[in-house]
Amino acid sequence: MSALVKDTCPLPSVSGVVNADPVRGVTWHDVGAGANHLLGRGSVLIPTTSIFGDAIEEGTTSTYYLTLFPRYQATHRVWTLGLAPATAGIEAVVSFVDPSGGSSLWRVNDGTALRPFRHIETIGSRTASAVQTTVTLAAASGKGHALGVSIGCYEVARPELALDANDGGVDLDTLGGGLPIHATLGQSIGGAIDGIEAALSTARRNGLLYVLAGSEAPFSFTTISYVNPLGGALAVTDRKKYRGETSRAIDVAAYGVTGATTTMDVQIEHDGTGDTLTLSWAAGDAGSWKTGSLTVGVEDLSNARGDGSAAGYVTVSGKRTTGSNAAHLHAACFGGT
Amino acid sequence: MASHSEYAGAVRGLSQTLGVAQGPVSASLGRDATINNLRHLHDECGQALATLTKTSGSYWTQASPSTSTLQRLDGFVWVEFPLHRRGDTGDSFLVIIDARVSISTAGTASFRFALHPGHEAIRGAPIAVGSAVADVTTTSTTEEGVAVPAIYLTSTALDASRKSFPSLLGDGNPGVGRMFVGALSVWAKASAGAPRLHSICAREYVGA
Repeated sequence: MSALVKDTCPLPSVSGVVNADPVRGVTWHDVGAGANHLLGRGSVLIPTTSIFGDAIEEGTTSTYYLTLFPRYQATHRVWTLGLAPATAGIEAVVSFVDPSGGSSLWRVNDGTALRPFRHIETIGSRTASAVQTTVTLAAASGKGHALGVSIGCYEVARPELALDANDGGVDLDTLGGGLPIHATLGQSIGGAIDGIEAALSTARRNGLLYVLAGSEAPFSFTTISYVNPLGGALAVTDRKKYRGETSRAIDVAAYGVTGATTTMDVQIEHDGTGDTLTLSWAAGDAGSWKTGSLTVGVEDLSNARGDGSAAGYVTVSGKRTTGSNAAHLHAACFGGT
Repeated sequence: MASHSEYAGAVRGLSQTLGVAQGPVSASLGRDATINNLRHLHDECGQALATLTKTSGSYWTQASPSTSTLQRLDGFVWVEFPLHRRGDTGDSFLVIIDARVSISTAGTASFRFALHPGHEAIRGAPIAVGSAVADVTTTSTTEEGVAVPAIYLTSTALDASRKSFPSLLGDGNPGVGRMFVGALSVWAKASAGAPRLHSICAREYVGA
């Protein structure tokens, strides 16, 4: 049994399957190996993203609300954190806790320079569905304050897949010249086709865009007119999953909190497709996710930058609709479908 | 007599879920359902790599800008991300960047975006050997979007620098080594005043 994930994706010639001609076993072997590569190669879950409200005072914990768009095949994640001491010469000791409960502890003490830190998460519960979760950064009491500046995350590539319906691994030992056809899951030609189908269903540009603020200092809206806390718009381009498409609907999830008498709207717009999504929170919401979809442009491989006809930028804005107390946005997460 | 695996034309219903039955399979089914899809999924799989931005009215800039020498922007060091291996020697990685920039006063601000094979290469020298760069300029004193030309980095350069991730799983698992480490740094100068970077979005791309 060998559902190896090769470093590179074998690409059989398109002339390997021709009417009335036999198909070589090596062609089917490469199809299976290609499926394994596409499923097991890992992907970006959170593109390196700025964290707002980045100060973490000593003795406090900042929570970051995240919706991740994983694939089932992922068993580990690499988290990359950009951290710096808040004050030169005063070391901060920072702990990071991942969604599976694993943690790392770092000494952050290089002047005020931003330095990268890595944390490996062993995923406690594998899934192919969007995951609403949290991570935390805490600055140890009695040490210096820290700055949590950026966060990123990617799924780790796999050396081998399981031969089951979840992993979609293809047993390469059953593909090749002179071998009989098996009807067992993950084996032979049928297994190779199932692998391609699984790869097509999981094919998406996982994490597209994240707008994140820590629990200690979320985005706060104080007006009844929409305000964009970021000032400008951010580029979002989804992959082209099906031939001929120029746009795709992506998943959007936002986490908000409202005060006892205040309601909040968050509006998300894409200026390439003209699509708009409005998410609303009722009064007295102690914290909840609201979800929807937004149509954005996809890549166009025929031009140098891949900007398709619906290329454009996303603007995230918020406002109070009623009331005068808290209207906070902690996160806006965008993922491919 | 050749086995059935050599003559896929004699097999019908290629998916295990449909079963395997006797009968011809059209070349279009085999090619479009499998090889073409495989190529499509491989080619069109670029990832979002980075989205770094400041809040309204804020930006990365330089406390001591230079009119002649490219320097880092204060507080912005580099961005690190994984890149898929796309093939053997000669294949390229392309990174597409959308940036919003401005200059603090009348003049011209120049920005250089550098793609590096591995973050270690950029800790010291401004632009490391084997890196690829793209330049843009602006004369706008208000935030404006610029489309940075695609930056190419070949897998040859990445292989030569051996900047793939080591096994990070602690069990000798080489899985992580299937992705390269890429890093992006930003350098700037200004003919007057100071350059300002408001946001940067980067994505991986196969290219035309």
